[in-house]
Amino acid sequence: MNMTTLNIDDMHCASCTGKIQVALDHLEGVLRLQFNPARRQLVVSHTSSMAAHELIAHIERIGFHPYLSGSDGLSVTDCQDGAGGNSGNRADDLLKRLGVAGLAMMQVMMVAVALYSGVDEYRRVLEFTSLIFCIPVVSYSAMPFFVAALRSATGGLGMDVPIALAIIIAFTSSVVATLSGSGDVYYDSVVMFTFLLLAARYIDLKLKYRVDAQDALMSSLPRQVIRIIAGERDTCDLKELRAGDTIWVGEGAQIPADGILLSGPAYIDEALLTGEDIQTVRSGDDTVYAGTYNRGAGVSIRVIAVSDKTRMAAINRMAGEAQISKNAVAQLADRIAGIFIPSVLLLSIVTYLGWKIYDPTQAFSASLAVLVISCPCALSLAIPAALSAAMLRLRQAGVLLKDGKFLELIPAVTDLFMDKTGTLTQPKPGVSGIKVFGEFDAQWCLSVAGALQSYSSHPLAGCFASSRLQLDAVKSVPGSGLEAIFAGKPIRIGSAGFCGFGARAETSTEIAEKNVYLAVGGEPAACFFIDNPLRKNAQEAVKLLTAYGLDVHIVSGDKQDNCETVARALDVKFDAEQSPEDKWKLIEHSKGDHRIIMFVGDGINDLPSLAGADVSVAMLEASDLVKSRADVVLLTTRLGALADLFNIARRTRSITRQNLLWALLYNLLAIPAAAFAFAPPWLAALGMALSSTLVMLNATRLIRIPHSFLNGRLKIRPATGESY
Amino acid sequence: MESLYFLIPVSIVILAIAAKVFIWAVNHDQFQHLDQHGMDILEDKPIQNTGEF
Repeated sequence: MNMTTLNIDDMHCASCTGKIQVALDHLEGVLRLQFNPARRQLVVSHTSSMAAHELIAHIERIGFHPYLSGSDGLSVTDCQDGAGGNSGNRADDLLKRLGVAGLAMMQVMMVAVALYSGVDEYRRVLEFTSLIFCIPVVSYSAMPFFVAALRSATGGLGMDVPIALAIIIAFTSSVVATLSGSGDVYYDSVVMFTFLLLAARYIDLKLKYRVDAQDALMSSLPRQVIRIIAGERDTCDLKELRAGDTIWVGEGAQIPADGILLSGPAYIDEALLTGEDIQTVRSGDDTVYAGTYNRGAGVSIRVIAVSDKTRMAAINRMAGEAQISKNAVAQLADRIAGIFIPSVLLLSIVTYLGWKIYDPTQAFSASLAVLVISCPCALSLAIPAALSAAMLRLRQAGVLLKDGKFLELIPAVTDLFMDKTGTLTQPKPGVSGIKVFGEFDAQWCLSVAGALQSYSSHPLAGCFASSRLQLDAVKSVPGSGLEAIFAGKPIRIGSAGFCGFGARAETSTEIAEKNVYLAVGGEPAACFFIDNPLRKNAQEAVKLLTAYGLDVHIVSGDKQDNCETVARALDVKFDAEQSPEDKWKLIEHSKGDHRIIMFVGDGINDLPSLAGADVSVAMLEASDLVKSRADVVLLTTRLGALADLFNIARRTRSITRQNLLWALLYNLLAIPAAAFAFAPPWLAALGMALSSTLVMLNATRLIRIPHSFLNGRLKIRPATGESY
Repeated sequence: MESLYFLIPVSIVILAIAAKVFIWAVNHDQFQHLDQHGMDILEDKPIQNTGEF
């Protein structure tokens, strides 16, 4: 089965998608159609017997202009051109039409001032002047509306039908009035209506391109890579690159594949992948990912994954799936528009007939006003726009939403359950504290411990930074620790008993299983407290989440006192020593009572809880299985992203509501006003177009939501070899 | 007010020129990458790795 992603920029509404659906559904070889109205995209699942260009030909036949998406994430390396050119042209085209309409509008408005002030002597001259300025607007600027209306006239009624009708009727009647010298002219209404509608369309299109551009950036990789074969650097195509090859990535170059750093340190800019605009320092043997940039000196990398096996491709795939699922609110808006348009046309006719009986002079202008004032653009434009903007903003924050519906659910979340290890704390343990005995120096103890531990494969050995002190006769004592000779003295590292701390247990503050002890010359030297340190900004993030009114709980399989320490530091409730089943039960138990549960986790053991929660979030370091099951994936180690998620989801909800409320209220008030001739056509044009523009601009506000605690972050993090 | 008969055609011509200029500008990508030049001044050389951080 093949999947082809098509961009169809002129697909505006429910009737357009309906038409495409009808045209493609019966075709042999087409298996499934998935529309993404917010992004104007269509994903076609088809058999290999159907080629992409055939699909395009079929869609073009019914009057749309599809083009292949360059950013479907499935074939990262194959399609990098194509997306840019076409989309840019369409925005430019719209901008030219908008510019012409704007220039003409200024002139017509100026003339209209004279007309309204009642200069009867020059009335006809001024009317002819308006007509001349209006011609390019109708014949050029408004063309997209006519084309779209014609296209939809053969199927369901699109929202361009009332727009085109209003423009044509108002313009024709004005021309007749101008030529015959009697009757009203509506040139001002026509140009203003066209200009403002085009402006709304332009903003909408720009917004869509910004989302696309972000995606294109995500999926674009250098095509040529420098491969090192037997010490020789050679340029080859990215397509020829295989796992196991060694490549050279120069200063400032983009890393073309996932791989292991062979030399270090390297300064890596992972902004595209994680949304963090700070450079990460990676040392040798660390993994680096395709799509990131090498900001330091050139490095060599052993490739472990290329093309669609890379992490970037996996993220793109998830993002693609997320975009496809259609939001319930957006669907609702389309449905409303679907009923609305025929009713408006009907209402317009009723208004005309009604006034014909009561007062024939008002009939035309009132019915025109109804037609113009009630275009449901605000209704059907606003919600997809808000969703696009929110998705874009979330991606910038390093949050990947699998389904737009969670944008509605997340603001309703009341309880936030978080795993401790790997979620609130860093996934790998480190030395959190050190207590020295006698005359020993803490720094010296650490370097001795580091030197010793570099011989060990014990899981806790990785907590110590390795050092190059000269040790002799290193011997491993299984189950206890290591011993060696350093500067003529025997040293030991390991458990309390092994290092002779047993008798002096009281000298250490607490003997936890995870502590590591060091003895020098038979004397207790130091006790290292091993723990998973809290993630950076964990406190601020949790504080922010609590401030959002969330009930934050820690649920962990870890020991009581470890949890207590973290819970106390974060000032939240906790449940320790919970098995995966316990966690799941806890979540199930907390449900009901109108409580919406979100669970944040990273391990396989969190899977039941992730499934049980209403919204599940996986951390960056979580296994792929966990990420594939979660509703939301954090692409950053920044816990602040979680706060961003809530912030953005809340803002999206309120902006969606504002938009819907505005559009509904406006139509509710404006239609009767127009029908009873309280609003002349020019006011109708102004009101309608302004309401569309207003909701569009309201939606773009979402893009400008600031990051949580952006300030005070370090520009470059210390080179501990860890990426946290 | 007879000047109208002269001024209106003039305004039409000026408008036509303005429209032409605008269309030329769009066609020549004058409205593309509006942020680019503001960012350019910040970018002098690729970041040098001094080994300090």
